[in-house]
Amino acid sequence: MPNTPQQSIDSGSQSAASSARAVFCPLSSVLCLHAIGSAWNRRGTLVFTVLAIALAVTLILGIERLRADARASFLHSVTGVDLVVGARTGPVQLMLYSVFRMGGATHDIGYESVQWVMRDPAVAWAVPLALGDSLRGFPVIGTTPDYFRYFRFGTGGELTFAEGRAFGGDVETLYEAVPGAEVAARLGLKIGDAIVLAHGSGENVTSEHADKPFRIAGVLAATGTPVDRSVHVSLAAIEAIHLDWQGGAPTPGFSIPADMARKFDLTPRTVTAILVGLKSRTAVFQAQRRINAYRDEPLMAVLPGVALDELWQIVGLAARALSVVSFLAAATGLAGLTAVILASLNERRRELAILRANGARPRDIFLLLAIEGILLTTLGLAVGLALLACLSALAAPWLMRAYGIAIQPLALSASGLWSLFSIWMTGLAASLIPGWRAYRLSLADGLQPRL
Amino acid sequence: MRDVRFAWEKGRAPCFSGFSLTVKAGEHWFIHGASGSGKSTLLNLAAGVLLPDAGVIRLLDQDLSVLSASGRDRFRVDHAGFIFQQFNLIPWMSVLDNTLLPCRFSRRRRQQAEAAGGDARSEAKRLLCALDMEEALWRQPAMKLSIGQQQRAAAARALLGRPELIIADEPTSSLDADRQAIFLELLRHECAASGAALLFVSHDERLAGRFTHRLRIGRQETGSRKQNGVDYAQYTTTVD
Repeated sequence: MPNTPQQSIDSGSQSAASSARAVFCPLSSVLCLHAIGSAWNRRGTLVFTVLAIALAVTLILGIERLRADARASFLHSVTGVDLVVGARTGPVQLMLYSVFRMGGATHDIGYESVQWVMRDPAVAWAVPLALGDSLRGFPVIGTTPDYFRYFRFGTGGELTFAEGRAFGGDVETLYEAVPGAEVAARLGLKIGDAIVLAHGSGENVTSEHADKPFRIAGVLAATGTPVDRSVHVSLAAIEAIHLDWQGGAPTPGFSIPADMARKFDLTPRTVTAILVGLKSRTAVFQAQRRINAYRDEPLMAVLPGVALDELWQIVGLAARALSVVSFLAAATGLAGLTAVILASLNERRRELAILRANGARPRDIFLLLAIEGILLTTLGLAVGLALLACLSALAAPWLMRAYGIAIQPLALSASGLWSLFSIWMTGLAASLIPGWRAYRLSLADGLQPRL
Repeated sequence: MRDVRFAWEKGRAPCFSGFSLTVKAGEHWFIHGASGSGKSTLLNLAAGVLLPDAGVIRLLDQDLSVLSASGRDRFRVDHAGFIFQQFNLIPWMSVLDNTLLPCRFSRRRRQQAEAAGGDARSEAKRLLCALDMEEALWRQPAMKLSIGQQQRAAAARALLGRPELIIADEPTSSLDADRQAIFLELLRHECAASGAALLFVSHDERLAGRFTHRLRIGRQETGSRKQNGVDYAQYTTTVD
């Protein structure tokens, strides 16, 4: 309803004009103001409705963001590694044991193959990994000091030491180990502590390398990658502890003392996988093809990004289930909103009839109720967003420390915005139900409800 | 109103049949009758909330039947003020805001209130004063008021913006005898001041003496009349 020009002519003084404006506003804002006033009057009940919507929004967007960030962290479990090379098996399986240290390799690859890969002109660096031993359930990785130089995670973070340094590469520092952050925290390992590695991994531990204890040289800072759950030793050390072993068991009646082992040729005979960095990423497919075609041993080179993506399809299922649950929570919140407004309708019939007797049409009553629902939904969304911002600010350091998930503060993804929009639209639709009920009621009641 | 017939349900006995009534500006009508005799129905017909099955109802020369539902809503708030027996005010709103309600929905009421008092707020305050409402009460939420005070605020609201018709449906029934008389005097005085016609419904005949006109609505069994095979019990009304 447009304002009449009379309004400006009539208003003589400033105060008259301002008080006049309070009275003469367009119908929609009359209804908005009334909806706000009426809702404020029932704030004791409505605050919980808003809270339910807010929590649902926090849940949906939180899980959405956590999922996106967890996926990003997962896909960045290894960065800077252009190829992962192992014995012929499935790409996902190769990633599982080389990057996530889960399961075991069916075959090893000969060290000659490692040297061949290192000589490839396209290869900038190659870090061999030897798996198969463990420390109280945590996998032990035999590798070279280059591992600490070249390994990247997240958006390019380097491995750093919380304390100490990497294991040395020479005979003197042969029995040195570098546990990841989680291993050190769980087992309470500090620099100088002695540890005994066990043969086999997980449940299949057969016996311990008790004769050759290791000393902690340093502890890695948390990365949020499987590195945190690994214990790193040199390839030579892996070779040394298996000198007097045959076929996965200590050779009966024959043992080489720890110090004596230093005098042997400790060049490894086999490794489990190789992480390869190329001089130029454009050469990745040619290098992959070259390695796959290596004639002396069946090798397989895998692009980690592609394999990780494939793996996420499986791992991400859980996250998707969580999203479904959070959307159900939102539906519950909005159903609650509708229920609360509907339940309040009966006690508000008088109020609606008074409005009717003073010129509100049934369609105004409909709008009034719809506006109330939309206002509450919008408020719920706003509170939910604020809650999410607070929560993510509070939880970000912890998530980084514990899981290595880097949370983007209040960066709404397209899907997050879409979720917000769909909640809002659903709220709008849900608000139409009490609006329609009120419309029917006010038509039936006329100016005086028959209560 | 001419030759109005109205039945709550089709085929049932009509409340009104062949009913005619003319109310002129400034007339104060006292309408009484037993419960269920159709007093409220009459008011609803006069206000255009209900439409007659037959006959014509004109308010200020406007045939209410030709208006759309929302047109009648608009017309009603432009030209009529209402006072009911109770629950006239929105409990959480201040007395002043309650009084200003019709001005929020009707531009005509707003403009007339402005014309009378400079701006609608001052006119509302003037009416509240005239109806003996202390200034301290104006900002109070309506639920803090006594019933007598609420009825007076409702009267101020009905009168605000000088509607041509004031419809009061048993506005004094919740009040005790002394307050009834005081309220009625204030209401009649203000109606006279604004020149509005007043339709005042009550079952309490003691109040009737103060009115210029009386209408009694009552069921008088004058025998049933067969018409189209349906029994119509007839209502008759007497005008004093």
